[in-house]
Amino acid sequence: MWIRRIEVRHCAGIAEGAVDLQRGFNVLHGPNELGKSTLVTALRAAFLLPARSSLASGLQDWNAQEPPEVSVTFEDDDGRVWRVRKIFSASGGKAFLDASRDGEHFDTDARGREVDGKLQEILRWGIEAPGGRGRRGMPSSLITTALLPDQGDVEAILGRSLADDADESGRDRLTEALHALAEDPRLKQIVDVVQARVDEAFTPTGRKRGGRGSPWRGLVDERRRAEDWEREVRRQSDETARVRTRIEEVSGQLRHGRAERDRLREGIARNDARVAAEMAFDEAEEQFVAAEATIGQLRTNEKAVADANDRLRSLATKRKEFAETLADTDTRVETARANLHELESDDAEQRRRLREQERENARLELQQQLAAHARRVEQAAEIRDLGTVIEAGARDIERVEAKLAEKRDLLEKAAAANARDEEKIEALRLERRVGRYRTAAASTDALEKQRADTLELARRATEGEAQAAALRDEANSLNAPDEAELDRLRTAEEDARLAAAKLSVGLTAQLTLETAIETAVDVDGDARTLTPEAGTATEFEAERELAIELSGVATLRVRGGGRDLVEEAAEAGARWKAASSPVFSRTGCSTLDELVALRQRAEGLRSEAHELSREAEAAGLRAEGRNDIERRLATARAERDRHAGDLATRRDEGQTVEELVATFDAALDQAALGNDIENLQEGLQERRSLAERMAVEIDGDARELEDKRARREEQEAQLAGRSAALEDWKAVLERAEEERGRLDRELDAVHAQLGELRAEIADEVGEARSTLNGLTETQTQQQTALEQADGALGKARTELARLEGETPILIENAKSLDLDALRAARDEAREALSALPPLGPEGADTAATREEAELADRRIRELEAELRKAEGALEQTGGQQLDEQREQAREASDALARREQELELDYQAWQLLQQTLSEAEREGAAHLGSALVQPVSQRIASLTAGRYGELALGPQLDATGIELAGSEREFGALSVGTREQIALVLRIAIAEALGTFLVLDDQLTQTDDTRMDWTRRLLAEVAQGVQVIVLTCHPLDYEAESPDHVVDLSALLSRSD
Amino acid sequence: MALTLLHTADWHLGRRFPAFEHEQEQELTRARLDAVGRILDLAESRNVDAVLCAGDLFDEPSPDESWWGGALREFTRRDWTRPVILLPGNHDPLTPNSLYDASHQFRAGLPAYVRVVDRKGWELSLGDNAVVIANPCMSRAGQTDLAASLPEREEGDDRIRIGLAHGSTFDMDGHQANFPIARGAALDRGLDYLAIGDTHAFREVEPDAAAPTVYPGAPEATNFGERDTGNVALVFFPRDRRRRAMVRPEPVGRWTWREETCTSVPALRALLTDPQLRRTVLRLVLDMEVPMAEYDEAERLIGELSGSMAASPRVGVLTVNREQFRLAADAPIEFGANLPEAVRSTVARLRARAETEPEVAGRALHHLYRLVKETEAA
Repeated sequence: MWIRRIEVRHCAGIAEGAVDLQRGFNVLHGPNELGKSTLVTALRAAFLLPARSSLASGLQDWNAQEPPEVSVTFEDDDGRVWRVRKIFSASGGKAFLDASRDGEHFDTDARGREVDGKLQEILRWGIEAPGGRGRRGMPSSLITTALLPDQGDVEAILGRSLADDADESGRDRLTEALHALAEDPRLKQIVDVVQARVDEAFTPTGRKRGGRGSPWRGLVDERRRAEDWEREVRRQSDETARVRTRIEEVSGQLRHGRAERDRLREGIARNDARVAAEMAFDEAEEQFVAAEATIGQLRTNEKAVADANDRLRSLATKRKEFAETLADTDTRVETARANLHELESDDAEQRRRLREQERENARLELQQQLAAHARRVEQAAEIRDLGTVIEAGARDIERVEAKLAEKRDLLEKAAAANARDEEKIEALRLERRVGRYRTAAASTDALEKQRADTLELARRATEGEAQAAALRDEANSLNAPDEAELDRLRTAEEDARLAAAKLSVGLTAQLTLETAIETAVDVDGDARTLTPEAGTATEFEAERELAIELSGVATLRVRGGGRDLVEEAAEAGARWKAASSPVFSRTGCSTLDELVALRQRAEGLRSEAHELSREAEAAGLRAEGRNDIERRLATARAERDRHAGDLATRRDEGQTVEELVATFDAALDQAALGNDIENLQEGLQERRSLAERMAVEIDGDARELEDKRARREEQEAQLAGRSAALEDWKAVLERAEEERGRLDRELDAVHAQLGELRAEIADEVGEARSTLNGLTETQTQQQTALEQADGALGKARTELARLEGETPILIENAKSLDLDALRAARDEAREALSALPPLGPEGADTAATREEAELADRRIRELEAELRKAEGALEQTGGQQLDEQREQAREASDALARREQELELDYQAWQLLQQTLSEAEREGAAHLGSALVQPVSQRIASLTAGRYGELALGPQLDATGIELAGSEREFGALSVGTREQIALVLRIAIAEALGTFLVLDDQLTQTDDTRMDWTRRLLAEVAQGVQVIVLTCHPLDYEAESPDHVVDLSALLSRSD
Repeated sequence: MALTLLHTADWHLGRRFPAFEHEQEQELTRARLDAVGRILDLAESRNVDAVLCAGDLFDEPSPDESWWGGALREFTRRDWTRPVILLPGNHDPLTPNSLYDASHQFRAGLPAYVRVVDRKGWELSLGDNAVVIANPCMSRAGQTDLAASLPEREEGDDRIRIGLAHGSTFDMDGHQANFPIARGAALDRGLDYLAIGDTHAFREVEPDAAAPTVYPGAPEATNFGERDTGNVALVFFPRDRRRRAMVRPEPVGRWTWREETCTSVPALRALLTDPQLRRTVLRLVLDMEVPMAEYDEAERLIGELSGSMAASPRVGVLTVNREQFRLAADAPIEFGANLPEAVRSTVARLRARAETEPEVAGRALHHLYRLVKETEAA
């Protein structure tokens, strides 16, 4: 800030006056009582006093009624010009603050009471804004005390402290100013860089910048785009996932439906198969039963024939018996008749009773015989049945034995075949190993060759590069000019040549000497010496320059062309020389053509180097695969060694692997070997599976056989036991009927006899008669029986004849029947049936199952349609690619987030650094005194020739004393002059820090001349950065310092008196 | 040999790498186009009879002209008669708006030797003894087995039959593969070789089968963690058709995708000596807590790796994860002499702050360290 102009009217004896000031050193001088101090007071009043302040009464011109008026024009630190105008009056004071950009045209910015508030905002001197309660008197602060001190209290600054200021603005302004003053250049550099980095990213209020050039902007846009993309892809992907889920659901349902349908169909098929098997079995069973029936019929027939024969024989026997019985009966009838007579006697009675007892005994015996016979027949039947069972068991055992033998044979054959194939596989594997060994060995050889080639290429690449470098070095060592330089030289030479050509106008001189004298002649640079004959004209011709030097007399030099052309040629020549000399000197050439040739040579060398480099690069590129070759070679070697290791176990004693390999065919087809091995292994595997299954079956069969044999032995033992107990069981069975018939008959006879006897007993005579009658009746009956027996015999014979007639037919029928085959077929059908699972629940109602299967088919078709629809939807949504895109989008988003986070962290770090530096600086700057101690103390030391040391300056710029002889002295202990000088130095330091003006009104009155000189020099020095305004009545004192502006106030101020 | 083929797939031209910065993304997308040139050069140098491209040659069905234009230039600058067969895959399916459509400039501009599989049951004879049969993808997703639906070998046809399809052989039960390819499809269709695409790794699907089914993989990797990429398959068919075709991977990729975790500055220093870095996509994870001097060196080394306005990057494409990169704030920091008081105070404050905010305070300390060193040097 500096003061441009002060105007006063009606101020304490000054009627009117205006003083223009300048930057730098201003000296305002005038005699005493002119009003210099009034001018300073007016200045203070303009800045500090409200227009209506009663304190302004001190300004009142005692010679005038008008209120005092002051106008001060000043320029602030931003270059803006302000003008404060005040008319001081307790009742009608007025104030205006005008602003201007150019210093000439002003606009009113504030008026009245606002002026002082606005003014303090601009000045920031620590003066309280008007209206507040405060101290009385002229407002003051540390700054006003420094800049505008009262003439009578120049030392006031030494008793002042910022803590006394009514407002913080002065302290803040000084803090800023002193901070800048005290700042280390390195620190400033660092702070500037940090601030610049922070400003890149943040606004002054700490928000992220969003405009162009903001580091966030591109990243934020990118992240938004990535997020939008990710959202869109996620949406599509979710849609795809939904479709996929549906496809999976439908596929699952479809799989389930198909499985269910297949299960139903399999059940149906299984049941159909079972039904078919059952039918087949039934049919076979039927055929077998029919055949068995046929054979049975034959046997029955044979038996019937035998029976018929037996019966015939029996009937014949019976007839004979009947006939004999009849004869006997006849006899008995005769006897009975004879006896009747006898019976009528007592003796007869006794005998009858005895006979009755005998008959009764006979009946009981016969009944016992009948029971015993029945038991024997039963036992015999059991023995027969057991025999049949044992026979069937024996046949079954034979069948199982035959099957078992067959299976064992097959098993042995399979084992033999497996052994053969295993041998073959081993041999083929050996061949394959040999093949692989050969392949690996060949690969190893090929790769070793490739490695050698690659090494050679690498060597060539290195060599080529070295040669190229050497050629480039050689080219560089030639120092050949480049094309531009050559062009410049060509132009310079052409200019020189053309300029010289302009001088080639043709010169002819005739020399006639009066006395022969040695003459040096230079024709166009060709110098020679001659002595022309006296009196004879000698003619010289030159193109552009001719010089004739008459030894010791004169030298005549004639050049073609005007002076300008000569100068032009000289200049062109000089330019050519200047341009060409260093090049010729550098290259060793002497002509342009040589330079051209040199350049061509250098270019040739570079071209050759380039070509070599290109070849070397190509070789290097081709050699780049060396690591890969090394790796592949290591792999190939390991492979070869592995196969060699395998083969080492197969070689003979003393034989090497290579010798072993050489024994094999050179052209082993690995694929064919592999196929053969695979085929053999498949066969082997199949046979092993078969053998395992067969072994299980054999075990089963063997166990079954053992069981059957055990059962047969048990049955045979039973048979043997029973047969032993009933050796004639066959005869018993054969004669069972007959015997029973006999016994029955005998019993009947005994019954009859018994009856007879009893009848005899009941009525011996009647009995006898009755017996006789009975016998007669019996006789009749026997005769009838005999007749019947004759009839039966006839019938039996007829039946026998019939049966014997049927027999050949039955035999013929039975001949065509193979009962074993039919049995085997039936057994096979039974086995086939038993191999099938039992009828499942599906079989319970096949129609319902079939309907269920059809329903399943329909459901499957519906699901397939839905699946196709979902798949179609998937085709539209993008399917798998969306997953990839989603992954890409996620990666992009993550990457951007990371970059953003990285940027954020980086700028947060700059921000933190900036904040921390500011805090540290603020803390350092809080002690304002420390910033001024050094400059002030140094000046005081300089002023006092080192007598005084460091000034004691507190944090609030409160000066308390100064170091003297190692201890601090209070100011009161110093001389007035020294106090004045220290105060001035401190004020100067404050003004310097603020970069403002400093008013000195006839001060340093107690200072000696030496210090006064020093002080004036100091003022001149500080006036480089501070406006110094000295008001003095001794302007000549300042002449030596050559002030920037010297003003004679007596010419500008008019006194009112 | 009766026939030699070059089998490639999954070029993914035009694929975006949005996780990387713009310049890095461009470098990676350009690398894919460069690989196409190398593949065709290889086909020429090996004098193969045909080039089979088994789908996903473009990352989308209608890529930007810069991608199909580049591919078209690679094709048109060659004066070949050897057929190059382009199969639409699930990324670039044959749809009405795709670049394989007859009306598209790409398709229209293809030279005669480049054939596009543009219908089901597409067929091309390679001389009298071999035939290629192919089915294209006609949508982005589908459940059709495009190999299983190739026509069967007819009775008496004893030519070498090569199938060409795109899809996934991943056949886990219940898993929905996109365009699934069932195992055994080659033998089932009477093929001598089934050329397929989709998986980015080189893989012979059924190594023991009589007819090989092969994924050649992507010629350049597309992400971290992909293995066995960067190849094409060279397929040699013996004259005796009963013998199995021989398949060999042939490297064409230039770029390596690599994830590296450095836990010390020497490890980071050692990383810089790797000559392959220029062609590497490096995801560098810094997992270390180091004193300031090492922290600063690590930052300098990362600067070297990533390059600057003045120096080329040492790594082709670099991303750095610093989440676990920490300054050991309690270790001594050598700031040098004559440190301004405010800076000294700032250091003390930041070190105290690092106890609760290690990341931000650590970085702030490093910024300050750098600035102090720079001002010292100045």
